[in-house]
Order: sequence, then structure tokens, then C-alpha cells
Amino acid sequence: MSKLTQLPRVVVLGLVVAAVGEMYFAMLFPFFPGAAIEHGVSSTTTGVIFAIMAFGQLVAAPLAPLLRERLHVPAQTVLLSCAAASACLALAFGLTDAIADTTVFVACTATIRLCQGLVTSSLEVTLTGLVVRQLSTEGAAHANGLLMSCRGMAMLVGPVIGGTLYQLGGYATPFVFGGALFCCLGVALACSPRMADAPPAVGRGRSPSYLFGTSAGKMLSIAEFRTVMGFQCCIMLGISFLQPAWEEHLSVPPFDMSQAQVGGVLALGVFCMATGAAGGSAVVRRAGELPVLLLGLAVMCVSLLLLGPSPLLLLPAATPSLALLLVAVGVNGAAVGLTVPSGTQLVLAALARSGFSKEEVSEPIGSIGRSITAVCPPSPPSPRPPLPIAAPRPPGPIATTACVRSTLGIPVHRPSAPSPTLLSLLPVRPPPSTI
Amino acid sequence: MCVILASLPPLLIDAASPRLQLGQMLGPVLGALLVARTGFAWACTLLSGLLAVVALLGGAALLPRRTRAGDGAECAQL
Repeated sequence: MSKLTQLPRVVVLGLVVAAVGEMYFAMLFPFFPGAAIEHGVSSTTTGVIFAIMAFGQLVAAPLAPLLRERLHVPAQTVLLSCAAASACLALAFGLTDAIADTTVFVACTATIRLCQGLVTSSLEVTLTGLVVRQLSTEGAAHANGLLMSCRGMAMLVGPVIGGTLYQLGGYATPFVFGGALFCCLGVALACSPRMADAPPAVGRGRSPSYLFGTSAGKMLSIAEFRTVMGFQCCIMLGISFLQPAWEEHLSVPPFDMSQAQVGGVLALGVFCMATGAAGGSAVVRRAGELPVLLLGLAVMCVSLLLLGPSPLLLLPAATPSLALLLVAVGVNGAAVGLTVPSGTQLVLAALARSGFSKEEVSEPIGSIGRSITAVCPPSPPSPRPPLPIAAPRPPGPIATTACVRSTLGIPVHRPSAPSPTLLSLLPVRPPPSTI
Repeated sequence: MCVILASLPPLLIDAASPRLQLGQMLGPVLGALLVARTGFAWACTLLSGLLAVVALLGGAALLPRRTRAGDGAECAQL
């Protein structure tokens, strides 16, 4: 386990940014849907308000580095501006409770969520770019693992903190808390010595088509790739499907949960998801990716039927019960954990059979990867930057093993080695027994 | 616990990828719409049905392809 004091400053700042951003994002889940309904907002519109932040993130992730490069804005300026803007947006969100008119409430909250998506994505992309440029390949891989673990922890505690603060102080309290956290982050950034900015980028004149990944078109022509992408899109749809409905469902009889308890239920789901992903890698090695993916989807289907519980099950009148709810949430989380890593390995296997290299694959695989490639464009003599995001290193040997196994099956790229094809990096399975 | 925490990074890599963000954008809207119209229990049932259909169609599309690929590999070995 790395000691915090031994970490480079940029990584420590990154950990704080990741924790604050993710915690703030997750704090809303236990109480905002109910508060929106009190303002006369329909459940569907609440769903749109939730979804619009993801849209902002999707738009900003590739655009932010491009604009920063074109406008020659120092990275630290971007970080400071984003922290200040995030604090202002959080505080502004806290004030929306005073709006009486439903339409104005919806317009304000949706606009703020969209801006939050744009700002948080820009903040994270810029910081990730700094980490990659300032550290060695190994160091950046390690740092990315730490950053993502930190996000996961924040995602676990965020709903609980949000629900508790709402109970203690009302609607504005979680937002004031979030705003204060972003203010502290801004002060820390302003007080810290100026970070060495990234070296001049090469390839500024590239075609805008790189925004969408140079290999994405070729990959989409592979049927297997499209199918698994569809699978994973549906799985994420399944995860986020009930986000706006949780609080409304759990805060009424027979559950009568407080917002903090709702947060606890959501945290249980995330915990089981992580557990499923950890166990899933071992199952994938034994059974193969496709059976595990299909098994995960089947378990998701069953757990959703229990979660309702579905009227088709003809359960006794005592249901829905708390025990059934917790079991269903836990099993659903574990099933999602099973499907996500196996789906990614399936995608990589399909691409490997088509002769793609891991560098080509990295761009469409993740927006983080895409952003890193955009922030660190190719510089001669090596045609492509190293790919630390392919296998980020969480702390500790067990963690590293689990991460490498369940991520993409790709080891950290060695700069001295020639660019290997993805096929050679995939985990080797024993051949079928032959007589 | 260590292994569970370690599994978060790969999970979050996936959570941040564009294909999942697309699902994350559609999910809350579709979910809120269905829960409002049909209630929580039926919305879960419909989502379960949707995933079952996706699993069946996707599995049917992928299994023959992978079987052929496996046969090809065995032929090449022979």
C-alpha cells in the first residue's frame, strides 16, 4: 500500500478531485427524486434531470482537451476554474429549493446538472492528462488505479452521506457541503505551487475525426463487437433504470426508509457489484466470457423480478419484504459485476481476432482512454503514447492481480517492447483436450 | 475486502466508457417513464423482460459465431 506522503502532488490532488467529484455525484441519489416530486416534477422529468449530467460528461470528455490545446490554457488554470465553477454550481443547486414554479425549477436544475457534467468531466480529463504527462508509464498506471479506487470508495459513501445530510439539515445541506468541499479543493489548488504544464502537443492540426477515435468505425463493422456493445449498453441501462425511482419506492410503506437508509441500500448494490467483479474474473477464466456474460444477464433478470417483486411471481401477500429487497439488490449488483468485466474481455477477444492492437483498442474502450490520447497526442519517435489506462494498478499485490485479471487482460505496456497485437496479450486458456 | 476494492478500478473504467454512458443517459429517462406509468413492480418486470430478450438475441447471435471460430481453431491445429 503506497503511503500518501510518498505520492506525487499531482496524484494527491487527483485523489481529492476524484473523491469530491464522485461523492458529490452520488450524494443526490437518496433524496433528490423525492424533493423533485415535492416541487411538482414528474418522475420522467426527474429521470431527464439525472441523465443530462451523463450527457454533459460525454460531450466534455473529448472536447475539453481539444479546446485547452487550441486556446493554450495552462492546465492549472483549468483546474482552478473548474473547482470554482463546481463550488458555485453546487451552491446554486442548493438554492433551487426556493423556486416555487415547477417549470423554472426543472429548467434551473437541468441546466445546473448539464453544467456540472461539463465542468467535472473537464476537471477530471485535465487532471488525468497531467498525471499521464508528469509520471512514468508505470507511475501513471499506478496513479490511475489509485484514482479509480478512490472514485469507487466515494461512490460507496456518497449516497449515505447525502441521505444523512438531507435528514439533518434539509435540501440545501448536501449541496452546501459539496460546495464547501469544492471550495477547499480550489483553495488547495490555488495554494499549491504551480504544476509543470504539459509539453507542447504534437499533431494539433489533426482532423476532428480523432474525437470519435480513429479505430471506432472499423470496430463497429465487426458484428460481434456491436453485439457485445449492445449488451453492455443494456446492462448500464439496467443499472441506471431505477435511479430516479429508488427514493420514491423505499420511502413509503412497507419500507418507510429514511434518506440515509436509502443511501445504504444503494451502497450495498455498489459493494455487491464490486464483489461480483472480483469473483467474476475467476469464473471467467474457468467458464469463458460468453457463458459468464449470459449467466450474469440471467441472474439480473431474476433479481429484477424479485426486486419488484413482479406480479407474475404470484408471491404471498406479505411481500415485498425488506429481506427480499436487500437480497434482490445484492444479487443484482453481483450480477452486474459479473457481466461488465466478462463483456469487456469478450469485446477485446473479438477485436483481437480481427487483428487490432491494444493501442487501437484503447480509444473506443473508454472515454478516459480517449481523453488521455487526446491530451497526450502522438509524439515522435514513438508513434503512440504509452497506455497506462489499459491496466491501472490498484495498491497491493492482490489488488494488482485482481485488477489485471478482471480488467482487459492486458498487462502494462512496456515502452521498450514492440507494439504487440492484442491477441498475444489476452489470457491463454488451456487447449481443448485431444486424443 | 482488498480484492473487492481492487476490482473497483476495472469496473469504473467500464463505467466511464462511452457505450455505458449511453445506457446511463437512456436508463433514468426510460425508468422514470415506466415507473410513473406502470408502477415499480411492473417496471422491474418489463426491464427484466427486456434484458432477457437482449440476452437471448445476443446469445443466439454470438454462440454460432464462436462455435465456428472454435471449429476453425481446432481444424487449424489438426
